[in-house]
Amino acid sequence: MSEHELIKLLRNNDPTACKMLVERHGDLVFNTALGLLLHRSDAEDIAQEVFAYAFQSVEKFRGEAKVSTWLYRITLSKSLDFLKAKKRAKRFGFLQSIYEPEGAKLAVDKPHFQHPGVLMEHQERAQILFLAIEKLQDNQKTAFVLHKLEDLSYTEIAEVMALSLASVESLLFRAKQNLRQYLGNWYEQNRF
Amino acid sequence: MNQFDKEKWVEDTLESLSGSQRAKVPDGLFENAMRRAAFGRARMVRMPPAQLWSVAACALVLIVANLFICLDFSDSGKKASSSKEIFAKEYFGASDAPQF
Repeated sequence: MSEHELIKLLRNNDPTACKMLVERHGDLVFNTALGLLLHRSDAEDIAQEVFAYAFQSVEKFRGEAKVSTWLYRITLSKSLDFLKAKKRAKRFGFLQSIYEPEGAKLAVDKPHFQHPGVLMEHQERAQILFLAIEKLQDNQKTAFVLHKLEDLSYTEIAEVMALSLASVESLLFRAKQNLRQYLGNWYEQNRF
Repeated sequence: MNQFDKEKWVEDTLESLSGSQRAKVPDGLFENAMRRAAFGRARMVRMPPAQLWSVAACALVLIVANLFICLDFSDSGKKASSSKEIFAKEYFGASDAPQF
């Protein structure tokens, strides 16, 4: 079934088309959310949210971009909103920790996320890299995750993020620079 | 500390995601998304325009009525104080009348 036909059926609330959309693009949505949120159950939650939103708002999809681009955009928007809400909650947790030193404890800077798709021999280093990715600004993080985990080309990233090619190049350059700096510091503090 | 070792470690770590595969999609993603979508639709109950207009009209009537009552109340307060003054002037005489 072509994308055009799929969208047509989705507009008629056809459950088979909904199932097909999840089967075709479920891994794209889940893995992008996982790469940005670095938390399995949060990524599952966002993936459900993305598809629920896609089913409800398919009328808004004008068909100018590919379905995958549309789903990437929804996933990015939902994941980044989720991260902002989490940061707000963390700030509140910090305030709580001032008044209740025994209560809310701040997260310690240590590797915690294991991506299930990363090769076994790279797992240890990937955990440290994810720790560094977490520290990046949202747009740098998005570009890096789309490039490294989703294997998108610069042109595809530019389309998904609605940026120029030069902006994407600059974002990825700065992301790598920041990651190098963070990893260098981590090496000095933890290896020797 | 060897600078070369450090740089090599950083570059290797940066490349640690190469060759990685996509994670398996969680079971029940479709069913849960459908449930959420249905819940979302149930929550988004659209009010018919006629009903919306009648609610707006009722609200306007209530606001106008309240305004009239407030204005009338402040006017009656002024009237009450002036009638008291008239009564006092008549009773005590213009020069001895107490001020209100």
